[in-house]
Amino acid sequence: MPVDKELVEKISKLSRLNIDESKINDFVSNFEEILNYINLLEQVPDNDKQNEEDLISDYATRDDSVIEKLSNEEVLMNAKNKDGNFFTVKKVIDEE
Amino acid sequence: MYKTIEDINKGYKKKDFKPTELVSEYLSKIKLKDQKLNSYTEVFEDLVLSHAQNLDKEIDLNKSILDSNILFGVPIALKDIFLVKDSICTAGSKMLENYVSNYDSKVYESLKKTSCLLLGKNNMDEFAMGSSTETSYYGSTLNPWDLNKVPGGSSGGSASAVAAGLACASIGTDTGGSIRQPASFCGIVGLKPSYGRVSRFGMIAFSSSLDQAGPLCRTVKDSAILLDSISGYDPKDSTSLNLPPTNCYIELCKNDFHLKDFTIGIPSKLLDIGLDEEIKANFDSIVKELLSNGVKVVDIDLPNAKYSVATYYIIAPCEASSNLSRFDGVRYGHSSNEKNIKDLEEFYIKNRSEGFGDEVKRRIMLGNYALSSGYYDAYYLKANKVKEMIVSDFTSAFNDVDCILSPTCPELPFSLGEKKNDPLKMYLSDILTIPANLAQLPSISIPLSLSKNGLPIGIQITGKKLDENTLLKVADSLENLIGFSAIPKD
Repeated sequence: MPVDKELVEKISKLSRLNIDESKINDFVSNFEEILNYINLLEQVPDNDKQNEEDLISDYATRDDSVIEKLSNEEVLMNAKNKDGNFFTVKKVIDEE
Repeated sequence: MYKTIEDINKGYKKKDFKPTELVSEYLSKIKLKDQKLNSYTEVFEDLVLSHAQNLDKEIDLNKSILDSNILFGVPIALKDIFLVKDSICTAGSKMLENYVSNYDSKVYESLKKTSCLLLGKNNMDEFAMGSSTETSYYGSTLNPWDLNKVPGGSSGGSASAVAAGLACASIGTDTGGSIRQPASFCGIVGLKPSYGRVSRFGMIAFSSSLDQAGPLCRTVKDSAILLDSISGYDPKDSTSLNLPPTNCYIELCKNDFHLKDFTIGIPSKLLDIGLDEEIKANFDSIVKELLSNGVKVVDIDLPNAKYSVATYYIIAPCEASSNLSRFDGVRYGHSSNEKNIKDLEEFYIKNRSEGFGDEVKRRIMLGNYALSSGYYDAYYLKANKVKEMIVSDFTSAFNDVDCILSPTCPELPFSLGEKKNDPLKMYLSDILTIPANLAQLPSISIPLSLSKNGLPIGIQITGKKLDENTLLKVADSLENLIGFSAIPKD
């Protein structure tokens, strides 16, 4: 896929970000330069012995039990929009 | 004001000064110098003074506390990425300008137990993304050796504060060199422990498989003291290793080792990347000195290390894009004041677009691109495969050597603004520090010399995974051999 304004806008939308019109061209050229550089990895021959599970999933798990928790007040203390014990957001269900 | 942890402990024992007197001295120096340096995002003046008053009394009551606890009353700082309950934690971002931590990070919880004194929080690149501390929403931090130069990053505030004598030490984080590179640029010691040594709980996440906390301080022994106090198993971090805290300081104090006991590897081919000439000359001369002292120095090959930067700039943005998706402005973080927002999606976009700076946006987008449909195998999976090859390179090299020596950075501290608009150039300067993050190895930068223009040059020593003991023994011996004692002009 060519790196152009359309691609950058598509990725910014996926990222829930808006890039100022005045900066779009800089983002496009930086993106192109960085992607060209990281494509260096195409030179590295694939090793068939490496499988995805071994590479990505060596994390410990814990029991699904409650250890300690924050109070409702603590959880809500950094929210700008709240109502009682709830965070409030714009309505997400359309009215019929 | 350039006291080490050991100096401060001795000073308290000899009653040369009390905690309140020492802290007041640091606070006055911060007032005097930090308007220019901008190394702190917040100074806890009242809190730290009242804490110091309590410590004055404790020493009067029980002087032996200074024997059992060397960090007692030592004024330190924390990179503004570690949560400290009831205080603001910005991570250098507008996104968290008003974010009040509602719990303590494990690092701070561990430090509190030592009764050290917390002076404040240090400036940093936004969400630790940068190598110059220029991406901070709170302004650039300057290098105390030359105010026209950057202090490095992302823990640039920590490095600048320690180098200028505005804190005895600071705890930073290192994802691709963010402790070692600023330590090198500011002429101090910076240690990145093995991945999993120090809990990441309550440390704002950038790239979870690479982030690791560690000390920036004046000496290798000080770095050992701090590592011993912040390391250890924490069930709240699933990648924390189930190991007891390190015991490096006592091992170093035994003084029963010599540089000749160790074999040192030099990755010569990797150093052909185009080092700054002065750095190369200074590095070559220390290698010669090692050889003339009878130290075993051998050439090693890390054939895949040249792919480190490319590998890193896939893995780190991928993980960052996921970690930073939590900042939507609903539960915490910047929430737009704009009135005419039509729906929830627009609300998210407004909050994130106003709250994040350009470098953070660029990395989130790179990560989302690399993880998007059809690209996962080519980027994230491929990068993890190459990462494993780099790990194997190190494993083979460590069959023959105890540690690996190189300059910390390929270049001298650069000028403010010099690379700000050239992200790739900024990324490439991390080539010598990134491999240790990818391979999860402990790695330390210590000051080597000053350039002709008086800018610090650092040397990096990388050890076997979880063998901080050997690493710090080599670093301590090298520190003694080098005998660097310069400080920035006041």
